[in-house]
Amino acid sequence: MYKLQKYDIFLQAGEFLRWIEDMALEGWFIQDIHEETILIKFKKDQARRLRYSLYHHEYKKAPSEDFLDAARDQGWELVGEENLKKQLFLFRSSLEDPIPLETDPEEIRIKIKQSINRNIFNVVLYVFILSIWFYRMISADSSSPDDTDAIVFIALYGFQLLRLILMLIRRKLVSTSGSKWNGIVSRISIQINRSIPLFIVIVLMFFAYRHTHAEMVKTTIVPDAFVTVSEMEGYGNSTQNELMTASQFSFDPSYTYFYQIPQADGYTISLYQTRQSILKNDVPEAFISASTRAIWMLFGNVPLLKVLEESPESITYWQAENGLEYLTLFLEGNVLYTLHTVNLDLKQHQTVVERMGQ
Amino acid sequence: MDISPSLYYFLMVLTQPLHGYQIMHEVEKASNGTLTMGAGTCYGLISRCLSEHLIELKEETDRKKTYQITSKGRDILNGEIERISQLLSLTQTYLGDNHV
Repeated sequence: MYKLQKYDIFLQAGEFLRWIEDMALEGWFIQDIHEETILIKFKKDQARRLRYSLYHHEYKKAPSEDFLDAARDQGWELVGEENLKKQLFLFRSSLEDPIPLETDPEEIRIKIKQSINRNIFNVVLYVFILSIWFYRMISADSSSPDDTDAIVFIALYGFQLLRLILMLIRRKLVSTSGSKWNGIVSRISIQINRSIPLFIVIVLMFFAYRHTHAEMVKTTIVPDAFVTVSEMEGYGNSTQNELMTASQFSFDPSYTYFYQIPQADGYTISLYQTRQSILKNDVPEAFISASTRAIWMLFGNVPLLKVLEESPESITYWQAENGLEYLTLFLEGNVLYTLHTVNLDLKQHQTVVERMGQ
Repeated sequence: MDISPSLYYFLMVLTQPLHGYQIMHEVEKASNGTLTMGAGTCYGLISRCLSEHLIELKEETDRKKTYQITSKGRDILNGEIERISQLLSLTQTYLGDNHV
């Protein structure tokens, strides 16, 4: 049987021990203990009266055989595993009034503070790693953290900072035992510990959603947008050749931006930015022209140009792929629908496209 | 350094080499039965005093390790004895034979 941990091991050790002693009287016996434990495992056996004691041990060292022998001589046996990863151990005794494992309150306070300091160190390490992750995210080439990445980072960072603050408060309360704040802080830390698994599940689900998703963007083309594409043949012998007829062409410095895409065959496509262009890191990501019905987009690092010659009443359909990314565009009048899917195969992508058409 | 009663008796009995179980018995004997040391406290003190070089590992045989106080530990212990003696002397001077 599993039960939710009800008490803060550091600040409510007495309450915790009385609880598991009462459980033993009902025939349920705790199997092991960990510092930030959320679920306690109990096993059914014949009910009997037991005394329990918590023991904070030195980090990275299992209790010595010497110590376990001495504890046994005083009537205590270890509950659960003795391993290097724990600092907290549980002992039990069937004696009515055994000599306590810990007889010096000051030594108990010193050990608990050392345990808390170890936990504080771990949380500070998490915060440090999160900071490095965020720094790498914002300094990566051609990318900056979008809103969703920032939200996840802030949530993780904030959560760890909250745990850190609570641990610092706990350490202070251990030094001044009997404070009225013990119960309040204990309840808060218990609820935070209980929320950790749910938090992890939410973050994993979020990344799974982002890793495989379909996104549709709707853009309305406004009549005054334009784009001009010119070809340059060789060097020193240029031919200006507008691929489409623009109803209007003006070179207004407040709107224009010149961008060249060298092609492998020696030609260069030159594009002028329009009011309807979308920029990412100062690189035009898409151009849409109402007058010339041309769409130019960056799909990954591949520039794609599509000149649409159909009449405004028809629906134009254009599909491209880039590994497991698919891009489908629908032009319906002056509205452009862009469907972008990530990590879906072509069949799954087609299913989404068909659903869009309904 | 703050010296708790447990630490005081612990250092005192380790003026001779002892292993953990013997330490607990000697502490109870030295305190005339007023202080019974739990195994957790004893071995916790062993770990702490080893890291602070107040005691050292003298011998290791089978599963038993024997410890003894170091010169640094003796300085701490002597300082505490001095402090307690001074306290007692001042008390006797102030109160004379008239206990509170």
